[in-house]
Amino acid sequence: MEWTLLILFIAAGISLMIPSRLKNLKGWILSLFPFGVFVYLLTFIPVIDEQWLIERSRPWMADLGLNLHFMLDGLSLTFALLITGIGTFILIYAHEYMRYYSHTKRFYVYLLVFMGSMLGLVLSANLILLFIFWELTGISSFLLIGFKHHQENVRTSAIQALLVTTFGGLMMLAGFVLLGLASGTYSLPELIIGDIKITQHGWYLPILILILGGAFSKSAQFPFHFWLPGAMQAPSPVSAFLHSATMVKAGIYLLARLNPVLAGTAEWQTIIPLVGGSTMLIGAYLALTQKDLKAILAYTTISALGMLMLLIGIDTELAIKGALIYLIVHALYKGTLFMIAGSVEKQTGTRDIDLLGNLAYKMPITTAVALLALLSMAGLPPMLGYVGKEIIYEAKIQAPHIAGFVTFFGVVSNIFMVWVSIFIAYRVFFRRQYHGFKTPKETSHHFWIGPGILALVGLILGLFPHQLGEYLIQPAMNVIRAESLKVDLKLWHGFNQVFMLSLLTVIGGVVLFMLRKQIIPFFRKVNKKFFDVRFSDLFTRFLDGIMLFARHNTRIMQHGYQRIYLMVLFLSVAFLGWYQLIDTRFWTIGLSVGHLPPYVTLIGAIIVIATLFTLFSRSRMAAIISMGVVGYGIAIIYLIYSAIDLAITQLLVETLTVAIFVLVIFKLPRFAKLSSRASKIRDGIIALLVGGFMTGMALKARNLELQHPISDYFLNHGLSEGFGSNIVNVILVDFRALDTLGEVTVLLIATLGVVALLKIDKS
Amino acid sequence: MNSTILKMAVGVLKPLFLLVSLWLLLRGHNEPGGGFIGGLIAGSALILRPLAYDLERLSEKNKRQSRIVLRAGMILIFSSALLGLVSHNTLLKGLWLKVNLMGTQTLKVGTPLLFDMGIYLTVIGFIYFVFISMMEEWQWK
Repeated sequence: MEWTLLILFIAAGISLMIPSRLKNLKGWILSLFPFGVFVYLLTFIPVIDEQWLIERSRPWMADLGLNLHFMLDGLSLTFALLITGIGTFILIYAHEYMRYYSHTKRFYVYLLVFMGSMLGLVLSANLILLFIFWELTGISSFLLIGFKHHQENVRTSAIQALLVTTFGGLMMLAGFVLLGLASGTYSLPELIIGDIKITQHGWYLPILILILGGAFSKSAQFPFHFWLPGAMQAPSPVSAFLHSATMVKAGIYLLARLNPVLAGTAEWQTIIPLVGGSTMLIGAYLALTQKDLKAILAYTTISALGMLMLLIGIDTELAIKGALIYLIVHALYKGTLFMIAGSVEKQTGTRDIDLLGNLAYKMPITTAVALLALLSMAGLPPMLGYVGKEIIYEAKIQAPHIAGFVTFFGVVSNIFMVWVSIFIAYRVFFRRQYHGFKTPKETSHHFWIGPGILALVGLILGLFPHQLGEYLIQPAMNVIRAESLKVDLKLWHGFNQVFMLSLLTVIGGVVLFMLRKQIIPFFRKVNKKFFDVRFSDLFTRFLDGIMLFARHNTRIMQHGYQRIYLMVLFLSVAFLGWYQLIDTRFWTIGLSVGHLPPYVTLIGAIIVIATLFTLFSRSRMAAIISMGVVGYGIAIIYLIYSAIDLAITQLLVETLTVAIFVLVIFKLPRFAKLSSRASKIRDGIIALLVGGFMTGMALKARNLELQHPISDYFLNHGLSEGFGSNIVNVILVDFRALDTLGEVTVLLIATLGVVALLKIDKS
Repeated sequence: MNSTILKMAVGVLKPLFLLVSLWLLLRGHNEPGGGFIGGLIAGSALILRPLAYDLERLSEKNKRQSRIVLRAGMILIFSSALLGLVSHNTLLKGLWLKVNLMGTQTLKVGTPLLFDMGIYLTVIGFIYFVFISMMEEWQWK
């Protein structure tokens, strides 16, 4: 089962290797991979029916408790089947759709990686693993949405989608970590099956809100909804895939998955229905005011996602059942409709519904397929959409506490949905006017096979809902509700309250459609007045603000003056050092340096004199040489106190430093007076501060009594464990080799710095 | 710096420096010396010739060589570090191989020596590269 993921990622690699001879079969060849996975997953249906949940684990980062831990149960199987099944048709469709695009190689890689990540997301049995796949879908969808990246608005939309969903993803990660800490495990099966009570935990509310942040942003819930209409800038196959089986459904999956862990509280049953309900209404309403066919579909997706959220929030058995069915319904019809929208655009050159029309006679097959999908969208029999809508109405009527409220909004937004369905059917296919840019003709079979099959599946499942309920919905319900349930779906429920509501919905939709000439302009006017706040613009402005702040900040921090950098550096060292020096009062400063042999005193005196000479010298060369004298003097002191390695190093470094200085000096102008009196005094003060701190530290360190000096350890273990009698070297290459490794890295960075500085002139 | 003395001395000093640096490198584990010190001396040996002669003697080849030396050093360092990781699950763990020399003495060869050699090469490469780049940049003669 875990191999299925690998197959899709391997397919992404294979897509690059398909020879150009087989170019005409590329989409077909690649579609075999998800199709194979789909068929393979189908074989799990009987297994899941018995076992409820299968787990597979492979070691990965065992130390961190993170393994490649996957699970398959009714819920993940439903999603996995949707992803691979619809993915198969998306690839076939893309084969034709992307034919005249450049860089299609990239496209297939992105698409298959996206598919694989999405499959990984629904199969993950570990919260952190789930997060990794979650972000992978975000990144690959960013690449897909931004595929036509030479257009600026495409880039903006892609970045918006990425930022919004990643922001939510990070919130979710924080929620996961809290959840992991509170429950003691990151394993989903343990959380779901183990009787872990998180709802009573003190962190419950933060955990819930953080995780909801992730789910809401990914599933385009209000007020995060704005990225989804922007994402329609993607090529149509991508839109069809994003809107139907993947990406936006991830949030729904997450909440359904965590339902046994987090649901059942007042917070869950308030926040989610509120957000979901308002998203449902806003999405349906905004769909009506759009002119772009894909935009209309995008807003109906938002509405549908809101409905799914609402159902998950209602949190009754019926509501969950409704959500699962509607999930499948929506995936089937929305995938179809987006592909149809792509075909229509290809054949007519426009997506504007004011220009489109009369396609029923020119593109009969496409029209038939679209009508099937629209029937499902409107929730009319005999489609699966009807079955779903009936259960949803029932769930809403029986919802605890908020039945009246959700039923009313449900009916209103469903009326809008019916209206939108009729509206699309009329405007695109049956209106006796056509102002498109091309003469439309029927598409090639690539364009209608995929959507056609998806629409037919919607019809067949509508006619035989019982099987769907028994084999897929029931196992999923079992896991979500953690009890054995019987799911019996029927197309026809008889004349009851729910049927009346359905009838009302359809009549409402038809009536509104009749009155469209009056209502649509009115809605558009209202829209202009009240909904003129464009969230995506707000978001862009917010981003611009951040960039401005960053630029401003950089200007202050990276001003480009070497002397100021150095001043900041030295002043901070002096400040922090002095603070520590004064703070650690229990060390006394020992002013007596003990008895010094006369030659040491002499060297000390030479060093001091050379230092003073450096300071007051009028010749640059002389200053450098006297600096060298200081260095050599110190090396000799090292030598006297038998730090031979240190002495040799000091000597060599001193020599090389002088040599480099000489190189540099040769190129500098003659000793010019560069600093004023004031700056000299300022530099002097800084130097005294730093030097004073170093002196103070040296004097304090002399009196420091530690229990066990670390040098004892090195002395005792140097030969026995490091196999060397030169302790300095053993420390450098063995005991403290990591430090040395760090220093070598610094050396390399310094090399890069030299290169960069030397190249600056040339650019 | 067109110094005849330096030019004459380069021929003798360069091999001598290099030999001393190798000697310091190899004995470093037991007596004063080691990769850093050896590297500094070898680096100084290599820049003697560019210092003594004109820039014409320098070419892109020298720079490339210095980069190769730097790279080789890094590879040695990291491979010695990774050997410990692979065999003992600890980065930089010192591994020792004891070779019996004709039954009387044992020679111990270990990853710390490899590490030290890596430092040696990195330091050489660094000094050589920095000097050459600076001289080339300023057309220093």
